[in-house]
Amino acid sequence: MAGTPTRAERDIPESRTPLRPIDFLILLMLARSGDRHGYGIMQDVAEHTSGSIELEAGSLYRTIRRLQDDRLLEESSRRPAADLDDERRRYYRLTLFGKRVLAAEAARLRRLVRIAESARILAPEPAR
Amino acid sequence: MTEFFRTKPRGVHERIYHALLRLYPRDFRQEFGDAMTEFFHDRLARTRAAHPIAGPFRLWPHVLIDFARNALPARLDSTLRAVRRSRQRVVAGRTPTIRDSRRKDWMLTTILQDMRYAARGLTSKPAFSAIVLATLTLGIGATVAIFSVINGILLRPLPYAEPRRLMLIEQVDPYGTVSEPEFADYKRQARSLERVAAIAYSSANLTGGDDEPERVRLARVSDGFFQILGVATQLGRYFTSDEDKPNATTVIILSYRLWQRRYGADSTIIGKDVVVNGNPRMVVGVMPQRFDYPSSSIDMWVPLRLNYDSLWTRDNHYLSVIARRAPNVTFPSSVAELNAITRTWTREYPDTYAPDKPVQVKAAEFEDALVGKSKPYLYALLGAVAFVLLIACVNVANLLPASSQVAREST
Repeated sequence: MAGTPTRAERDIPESRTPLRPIDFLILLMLARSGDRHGYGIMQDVAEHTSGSIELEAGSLYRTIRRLQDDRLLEESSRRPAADLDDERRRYYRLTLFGKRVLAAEAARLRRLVRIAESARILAPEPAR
Repeated sequence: MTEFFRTKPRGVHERIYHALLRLYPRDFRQEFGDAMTEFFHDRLARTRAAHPIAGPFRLWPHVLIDFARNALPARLDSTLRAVRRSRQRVVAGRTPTIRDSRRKDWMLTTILQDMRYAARGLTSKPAFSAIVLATLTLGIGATVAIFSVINGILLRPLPYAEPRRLMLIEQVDPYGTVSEPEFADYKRQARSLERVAAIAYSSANLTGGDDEPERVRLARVSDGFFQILGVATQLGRYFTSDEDKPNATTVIILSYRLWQRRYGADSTIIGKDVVVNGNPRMVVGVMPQRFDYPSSSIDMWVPLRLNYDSLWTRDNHYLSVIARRAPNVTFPSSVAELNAITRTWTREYPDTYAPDKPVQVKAAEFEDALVGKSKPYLYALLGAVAFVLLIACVNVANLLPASSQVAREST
């Protein structure tokens, strides 16, 4: 079918950007904390958005399924110690491809921020 | 229940949550049901830690909104995934059978596939589709149009209270309508009738207010007219018996149409005067839109105000008469009684009713009077358009094998 990207085209991380804000957040949280279960992802997102985004189970797992289908994240077989775990939980981690897409998206956002700074919409951040 | 739970739900809230998960498609439940229940469990525990009693009740609205926003989209997601997967299987060289898709997927997938096949079939033969569509459209359209007419006229009951007890009373030619003394006789003597009322038509000039003067049609009706038909007023009340007496105050009831058009649906119009033929008449009621007896062209009703002490002559026929039969009185027995009354007239007033022009009642039940003559034609019309639809279906059925023949030859 015309217009449908080929497998090779789909494998270029830049072809997957821009990411939806919620996808970006979830991938970012997984990149920071490694393997996480659904509730943990929700807590991380809430923490890093000062509680303004509180995901519910349905929204979260639908997004997770979509990101899995897009090969951006996968279920992890690594589990914490049994006393900290519940067998109903599922743990997720970024795929290698997911990491590359996340990086591409972050770079895209950085470019946009640079433009905003040069247009004096945003004061440049002092060098750390 | 064992489909996705590896452990049992704990507590009533989790059990409700688990039941609600059935709103999600099966494959989604199998993959995430446990994880979602655990998620809910954690969320409930944290909410309870903050608000031991009110916590769960604060949580549920969020959870229900989440279900409302995601359960149906998740079903759509699953369908699209299934379609995508079946297409991949086709690419891989294995054609999925309907059995396959039934087993693997679920109803919505099948419906979606059917719709895709149908759309593909329609677009691949546009001329054929257009002919079939046009044929069916004509057949169905004609049937629906005629049925809606018949439904409105024959099938739905007349918009009056107990319409089966209503009848129309006229007299066989040359008399036609009823004269004042005749009406008075019916009113006094007919035991089979609960109420009888007379109607006379006239027209009048309506003036007053800022509007242009206009000519309006009005029905002059005797006491009991509105009670016989039993349709409640939109505003105000019916006429009283006193208002039908000769020197009573002049009152008027407006039709919905006139009230809307000339008085801007003024809800405070009751008690106000309108000027009819130069005389003020107080508005006591407004009839609802669906009330249009004796005719849809009537703009207002006024009391007939017959003077029973000095009635007009017996040979001056101008009144239409309607009546409501007493309960449990049949139409034929009522007509027999009315005919007995007219026979006394022939004896008592030989000068008025010559022997070569006998007076005889010509009564009809309301339903027959209003639609009576057109009834068989309407049913015949319905039968005709039903046949048109049948022929359309047969034509389409004949076209289908022809079209598949063409398809087979072209492959």
